[in-house]
Amino acid sequence: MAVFLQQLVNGISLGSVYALFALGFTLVFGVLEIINLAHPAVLAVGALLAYTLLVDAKVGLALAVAGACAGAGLLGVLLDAVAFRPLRLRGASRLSSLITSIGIALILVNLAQIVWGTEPLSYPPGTVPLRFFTAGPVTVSLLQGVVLATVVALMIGLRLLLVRTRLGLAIRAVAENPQTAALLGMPFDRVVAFTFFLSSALGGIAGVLVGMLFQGSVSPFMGNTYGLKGLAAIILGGMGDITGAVLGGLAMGIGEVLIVQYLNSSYRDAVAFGLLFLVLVLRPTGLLGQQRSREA
Amino acid sequence: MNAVADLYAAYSTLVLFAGVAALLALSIYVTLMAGQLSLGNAALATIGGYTAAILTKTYHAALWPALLAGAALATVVAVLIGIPCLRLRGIYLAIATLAFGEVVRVAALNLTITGGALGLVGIAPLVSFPHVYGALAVAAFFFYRLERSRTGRALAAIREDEAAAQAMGIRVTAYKVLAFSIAGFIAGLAGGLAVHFTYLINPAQASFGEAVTILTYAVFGGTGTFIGPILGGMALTVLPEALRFLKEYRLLLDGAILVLVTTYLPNGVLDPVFAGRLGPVFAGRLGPLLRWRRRA
Amino acid sequence: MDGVSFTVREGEIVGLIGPNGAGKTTLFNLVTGFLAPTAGRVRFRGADITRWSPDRVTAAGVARTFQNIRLFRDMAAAENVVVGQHVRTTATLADAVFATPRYRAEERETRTRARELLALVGLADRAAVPARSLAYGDQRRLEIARALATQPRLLLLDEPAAGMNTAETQALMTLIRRLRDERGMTVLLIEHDMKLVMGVCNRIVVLNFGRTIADGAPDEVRRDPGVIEAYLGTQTERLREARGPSPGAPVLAVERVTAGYAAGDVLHGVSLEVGAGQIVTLIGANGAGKTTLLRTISGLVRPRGGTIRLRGTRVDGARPDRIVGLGVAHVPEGRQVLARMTVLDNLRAGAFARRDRGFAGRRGAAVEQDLAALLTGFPELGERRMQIAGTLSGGEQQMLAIARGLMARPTLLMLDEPSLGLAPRIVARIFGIIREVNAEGTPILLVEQNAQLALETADQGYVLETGRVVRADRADRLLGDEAVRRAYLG
Repeated sequence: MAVFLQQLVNGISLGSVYALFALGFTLVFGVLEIINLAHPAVLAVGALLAYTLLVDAKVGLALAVAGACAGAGLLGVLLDAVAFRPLRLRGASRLSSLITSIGIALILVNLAQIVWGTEPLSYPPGTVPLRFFTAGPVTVSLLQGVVLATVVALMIGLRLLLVRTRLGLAIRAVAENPQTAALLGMPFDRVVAFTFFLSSALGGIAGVLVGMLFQGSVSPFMGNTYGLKGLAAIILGGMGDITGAVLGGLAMGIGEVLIVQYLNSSYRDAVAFGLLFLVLVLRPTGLLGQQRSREA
Repeated sequence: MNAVADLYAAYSTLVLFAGVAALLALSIYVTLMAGQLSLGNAALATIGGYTAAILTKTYHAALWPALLAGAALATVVAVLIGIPCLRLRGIYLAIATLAFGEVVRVAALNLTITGGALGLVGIAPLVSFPHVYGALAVAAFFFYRLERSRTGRALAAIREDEAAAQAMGIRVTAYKVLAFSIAGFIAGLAGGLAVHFTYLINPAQASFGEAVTILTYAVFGGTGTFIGPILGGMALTVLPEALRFLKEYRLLLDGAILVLVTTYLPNGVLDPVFAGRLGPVFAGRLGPLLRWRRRA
Repeated sequence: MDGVSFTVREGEIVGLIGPNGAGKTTLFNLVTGFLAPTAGRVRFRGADITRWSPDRVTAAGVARTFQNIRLFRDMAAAENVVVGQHVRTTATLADAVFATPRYRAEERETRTRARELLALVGLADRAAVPARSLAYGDQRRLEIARALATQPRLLLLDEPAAGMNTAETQALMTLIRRLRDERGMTVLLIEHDMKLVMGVCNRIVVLNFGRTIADGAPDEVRRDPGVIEAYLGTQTERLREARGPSPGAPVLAVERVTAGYAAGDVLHGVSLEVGAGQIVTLIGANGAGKTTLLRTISGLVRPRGGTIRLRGTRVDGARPDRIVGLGVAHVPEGRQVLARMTVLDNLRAGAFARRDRGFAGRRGAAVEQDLAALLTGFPELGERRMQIAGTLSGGEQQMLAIARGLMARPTLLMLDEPSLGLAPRIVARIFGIIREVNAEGTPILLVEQNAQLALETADQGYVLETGRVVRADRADRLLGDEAVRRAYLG
């Protein structure tokens, strides 16, 4: 039981990062109905930017996170302007956008390789002091606490943005019904650009958190596993649904940790993807998502 | 004398790779003909490869029975995967096939019969130019006839508008399954062929990266006619070798190809040729000759 | 659909008519297997085809065309018709690969038959043209040829004459008669063009609100009071005096606007004016171009010719958010509330483009005041302010859409078919609201299918027919005008 609770805590900590990452996917999907497969690469760039800030510029953690967040966000806006918007203007199919996003991911990873090399990197030890808190059978590290707190704060912030501000209203309206949103005077392209900023900023921070949680995890290729897991999270929770992304991410994190603990760890990924496949086949809208039918 | 032999050996493998790439590109093309993007063909090729390798290596089977067995198994798996995925639209199908690919990769990584992470080595060199290019020629001829047949038109109709195709009495589900099974067969065969001139196989061949590479072949060459994927596969196998000094930028170039071609040449690099925009020489006759269709 | 029953006898040409939203295309979808009914049966030539898949229904001998034209756009015209023959041909893939005699014979035959069918519908000279490049009327005819290729016994045509001019419609009527006379075909067609329906059908079935309200010969149906009411509304008291145009510049001046979509122009040189404080109504049959005109004014469609002026400022060709910023509120057809957001959010969205809205987080006082006023003025909305908009009733959604439009403090409020799909009592309430809003000074451009109600409410009326204004007069003078009745019911 003690082990289970401990793993639960670990799972929540990991899952919260998946959730943050999945939010990025879901935001863009909500507004454009496309899956941005460059998102994992943005996660990696965020983590790497933070590395440079921490190691080369030697700034504090908070500033590094802020820098990674802003850098990733701006990257997202650039990607929209350069890759996705031209496709929108052409009226291209959503598969085209998917393919382009794959291409962007490759380009970003290669560029990251050139700048940061291929060796896995670590954030300087002591960035977050090594301290533990014990409550009964469960031990939580300060690091895990910081990660969880950051994610919770960001999610609250996102919710406030979406629900209380004019911009958030525009994002939700455009995601709901772009035609009506146009009739209400909402500028589609600008709303999309901002959504990309938001989505990529969250992805960048997720990257930094991953780097913090796991020594030696920062590299241009770190996005790969997170990419597929993030996809699994939003499919589980329902594409385009924010609560769903969060729940899906948590489920992935907890599930992964428990599977490693209780089942053969080398099959961990296969179980995850097998589940993903089943969910897609049986209930493609996920547990919470809504079917947006555009048929006959 | 040795140097010449080495040079020949090096190039002959490249030529064989180009042929295999063309086959793999055709396997993704056939499902695209029906409007389905399947990213599981690398995994299907891996299944075909492992099967053929195990048969020739452990059971000392003859080449063609082993190849056909591999292709048959891949076909069966493709159909088993395809049927539940049939209701999925575009992006969901792509993700489901991706998930399937990952399951195959992890399975290959863990099963003893597939040799685990190292895969299988020391496979007999049974395949040479006539095998690969014989198979390619037969496949090309098959596609040439397919595009002029009632079946080919049905697939094209499904791609354009599934509901309208159904209204024409076309049994959409059956045709999608057919496309999947053809894809499985060709991919499985390609995998089996490759194994016997590279002498090894490992789970990495079923990875997301490999699946993306196959997609790149089709996108680059264009999906308007079967010649596109063939040329795309060959070109993208040979070019990187010719441009070997750019090896560090391999991913970037792949990515750039995907982005640029998708944005500006949605029907592939050969689009201007087939669409008749390259002046009097081709004067738009090559297109209709090859039953070229606008896609994207 | 609510308990709809009728039969079509062999060799008949039956017309299926009814106001917008009555359920006509839904009926086609039910018959052809795209939708499954919750109760009831569909029988074709004795066989129960109720839950058959569309391909099976076609194989049994029922073919259809689509309201929104679903051709295989990248295929040539001839190829579309060849695909149509799929269900009646048998060559397999093996036949094709080995070029067997069966394959070769079938390829020849299908091409010959395709040419014949194209000639039948008058498209012989355009056999090689890609479907996407054909003119709109040609596309409709190609769809018919493609449907005929399946060798049906029953042909379902969904608005086959939409977008056709008089000559084309005549040709279509001749074609339909020929199909029955020469090929023994039975035809069921949905149409809004009354000339065609009255001219070619043996019998007419009228649907409204998913129920049959009439079934009989054309003349009977034309005079049936229930049908007239369904289309035109009942004569009630005029509740307000029609006002002539106010002095001063018109709020909206549309001059000789020509606009349309890729497939072709829908509006041809339309001119209309809305004066300060007026309610102007635009009426006409379906497909006449009313919605297109509103969308052109609000910037969703770019006009190809003519000018649109809002309080003197030219807005033709401007982007929607600019036009909205200038004070045009467009309440679209079918209400289009933001279904998954709350009532409150929907209303706030209406104020999005206002200049006095305040900064990012803080809301302007004026907006909050308007919000409070509207929630009081529409008690149903006030009670449900936190409810998800998609769960409101039709009437409540319409109120929400209008209130949302009002949140913009518009200089011009445009309403597209506010009575669509609503019960008469609710419609009366909605129109009461429309009158009140206008009484407080907002000019309104009202597009309505319910001509009676529209003309009783408005000051000025314009009658639109196939993209042209055929009558423009004071609303009360148009009320009894035979021309209006004819425009709807032929």
